[in-house]
Amino acid sequence: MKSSNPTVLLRPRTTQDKSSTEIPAMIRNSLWLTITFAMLALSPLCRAQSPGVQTTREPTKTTLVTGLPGFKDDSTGSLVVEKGNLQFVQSKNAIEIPVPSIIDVVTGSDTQRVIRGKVGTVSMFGPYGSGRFLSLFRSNLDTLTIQYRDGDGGLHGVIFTMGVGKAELLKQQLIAQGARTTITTESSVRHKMSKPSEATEQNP
Amino acid sequence: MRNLFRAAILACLVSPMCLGGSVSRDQKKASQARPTGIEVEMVQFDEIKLPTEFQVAIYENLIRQLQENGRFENVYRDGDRNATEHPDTIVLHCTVTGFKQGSERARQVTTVAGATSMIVHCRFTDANGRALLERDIQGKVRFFGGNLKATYDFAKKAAGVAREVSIEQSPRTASL
Repeated sequence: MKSSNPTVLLRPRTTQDKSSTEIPAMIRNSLWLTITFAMLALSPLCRAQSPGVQTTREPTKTTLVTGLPGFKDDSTGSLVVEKGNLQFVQSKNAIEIPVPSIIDVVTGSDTQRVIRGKVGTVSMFGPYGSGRFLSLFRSNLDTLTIQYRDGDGGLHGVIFTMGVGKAELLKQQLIAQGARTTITTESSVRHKMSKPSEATEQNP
Repeated sequence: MRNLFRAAILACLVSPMCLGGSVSRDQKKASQARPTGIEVEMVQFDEIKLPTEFQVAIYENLIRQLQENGRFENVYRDGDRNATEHPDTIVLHCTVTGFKQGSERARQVTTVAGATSMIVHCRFTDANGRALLERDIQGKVRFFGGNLKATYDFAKKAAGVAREVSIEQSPRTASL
C-alpha cells in the first residue's frame, strides 16, 4: 500500500530549499543574540530602580491595631502612600498623615490564629481540646509601626498589621518620600548613599 | 455646780485644740492641689530589648486610659506645645525595666505557659522636674488576647495610680 497523503508527494527535497531554510535560521539566531545582549545591557538599569522608587500606588489592605484618632482599634482599611501623605481609608472615614512628619517607621512580624472572629472564639471552647488544637494553625503577619508628630508637636504612635511582605514595601515608599527610620534597611541605606552622590553631581 | 464648772473648763481646753486641728487640715488640703493636666512622655527603655510596637502600644494605651479616667482635664502628648501653657501640668515619665515576651500560641494551647509581662517604672513630676510619686507597675497577659494586651493592663493600672498624684504647692500659693 502506498501513502495516500498528496502533500508529501508534492514537496520534493532539493538543495535550494535547504539553503533557503538556513538563511532564516541565521536571522533568527542573530535576533535571539541581539535580544539577549539588549537584555544584558539593560539589566543594570533594572537593578538601579530600587523598590523605594516604585510608582505603584496600590492600596494595601491593613488592620489598625491602635493609635489613629477617630478610628476604633482592630478596624480594617487600606493604606496608600500618595502625594507625600500616608492615607488610611476605611469605608467612610479617612485620615492623612504627612510623610515628612513621620519620625520613625519600623516593621516587624507577628502571627494570628487562622480561625478567628466570633467563630474563633466559639471554637476555643470546643470539646476534647479541639479549640487548643486549632490554635496551632496560625498565619504570619507583618506589623508596621509609625511614630509622627501632629501640628502642636505632640507625638503619636500607630500600629498596623498587614500581609507578609507588604510592610517592607510601604516602609520603603515612606522613606523614599521623606519619612525617617531608626532601623535602616538595605534599600534605605542605598537611598541615603545615592543622595550625597546626587549632591556632588549638582555641585560645580 | 462643781461638775458644771469642770465641764466648762474642759470645753475651754478642748475647743481650741479641735479648731486648731481643723484649721491645720484645711491648710494641708489647700497646700495639696490637684493637677489639671498631665503630659505623657514617650516610653523609654534602657537595658532591655523592647520591640517598637510595645513601646508605642504602652504610650498610646496610657494616653487613652488617662483620657477615659477623667481625673485630668487635659492629657498632653510628648512634645505638645500646649502643655507649657498650664503651670499645674504634671509630667509622667515611664521607663520599662523588665520585659518578657510570651507567646499567644503557647497561651492558647497550654493555658499555663506563654505569659507576657512587663514592669514599668513610672515617675510623676511637676513642671519643675520635682518628683511627686514614683512606682513600679506591672502589666501582663496570661490567658486571652495578644501580647500587646499586656500594655493595656499596665495602662489601666497606671491611670489608677495617676489619681493619687497631687501637687504640693508652696504655702504662699496655698494661702492664695
